Amino acid sequence: MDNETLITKKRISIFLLSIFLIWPLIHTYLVFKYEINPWKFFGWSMYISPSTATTIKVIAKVNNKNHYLEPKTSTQKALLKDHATYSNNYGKFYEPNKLVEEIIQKIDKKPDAIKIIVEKWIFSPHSTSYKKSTKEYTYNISHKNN
Amino acid sequence: MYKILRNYDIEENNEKYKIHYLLILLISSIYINFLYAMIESSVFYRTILLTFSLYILNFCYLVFKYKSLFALKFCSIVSLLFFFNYAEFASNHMGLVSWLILLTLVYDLRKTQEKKEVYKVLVIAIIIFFFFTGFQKLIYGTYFKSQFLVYMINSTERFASVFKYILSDVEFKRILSLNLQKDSLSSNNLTLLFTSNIVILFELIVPILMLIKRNENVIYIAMIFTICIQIVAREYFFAIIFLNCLYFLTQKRYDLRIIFISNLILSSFTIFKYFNPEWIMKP
Repeated sequence: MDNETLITKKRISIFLLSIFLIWPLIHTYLVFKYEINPWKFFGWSMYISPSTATTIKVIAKVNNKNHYLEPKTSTQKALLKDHATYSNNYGKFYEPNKLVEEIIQKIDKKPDAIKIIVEKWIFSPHSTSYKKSTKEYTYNISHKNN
Repeated sequence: MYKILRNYDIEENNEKYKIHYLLILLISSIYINFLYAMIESSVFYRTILLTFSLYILNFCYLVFKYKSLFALKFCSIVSLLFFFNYAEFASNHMGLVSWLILLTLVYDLRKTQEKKEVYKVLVIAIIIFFFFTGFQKLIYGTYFKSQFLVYMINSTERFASVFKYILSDVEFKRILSLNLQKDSLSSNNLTLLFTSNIVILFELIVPILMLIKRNENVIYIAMIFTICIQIVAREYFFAIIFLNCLYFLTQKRYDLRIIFISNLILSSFTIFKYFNPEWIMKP
């Protein structure tokens, strides 16, 4: 019985070790393909890749005119900072739906659309310099009264 | 791989390999690291986490005192659940810590046979971790033209303060004047190229040597090299945890004094940071 238990435990530990062995490779793939933060999610890359940095800009579209929504209060700044951190960590997996929902709830005059621009600075080893990756999300807003 | 590791077989009733000591260090390091990371976030978290961490730390020592394995395992599970909740923010050394704790949980540390197995499993995990630190540098390609080193010298005071004595004035000033978002960070400087690439070579070769044959000298060289790297990198958490892991692989007695000193160093950095956030430079 003891021997069987030991064999089972060995198998469990081999399985765990396999994940431990494979994860850095999966992580590297996710970094290159989906731009997740190389420093996070149990990544090995803190002393391999320079830190990535992300900024989020919010633009409200009213009557076909774009208005840049600059965060003024500390709450607004914190909201954008939090989402920039999420975006920096999750890379292309990040969707700013929650950010847009929160903006719509707090904004006085509902715009026709909200555009979110996510700018991420990623270090490219081949060009030996930083490159900017920009992704835009546009959310059209209906003005129906609920 | 298990067969290769017969070099790491431990003798019957060998009291040198105190696996639960390493476990205590790993658990406490999670909380100290969290505290360190949270210090900048807000006053509320600072107070809560300082109290919580100290309680956990004391709990770990009590566990050791009464040799309660159940309590130690309970503490491990709680720590892991707490930790995996923050996986999004988990970096390399905390990955190592959580994985080692997880592997230890599988076995019963009271039984000699299982203690032998868990020791081998920990050896494999530590060697895998060591190898991947080099392997990832190889596949990321940020070391071949010293790009990463140039970035670190340009952006961090701790790298600049060491390399100003190693590099020529002209090269050092050129690196400092680079615009990180516009300029190319490659360098043809031989010192930088040598420093960058020797790190990769070392981190690839030493773990393989450790796997092939148990050689105390290789482990000591690895420890010295880690200390040399940390003179520049100053990654205290990684350094203390990894040096403990390497020392754990030697046949020297791994005892409570080492854990106590290690925790003392980790805590002192954190406490200094709590009272004076600018004391330790941010990366």
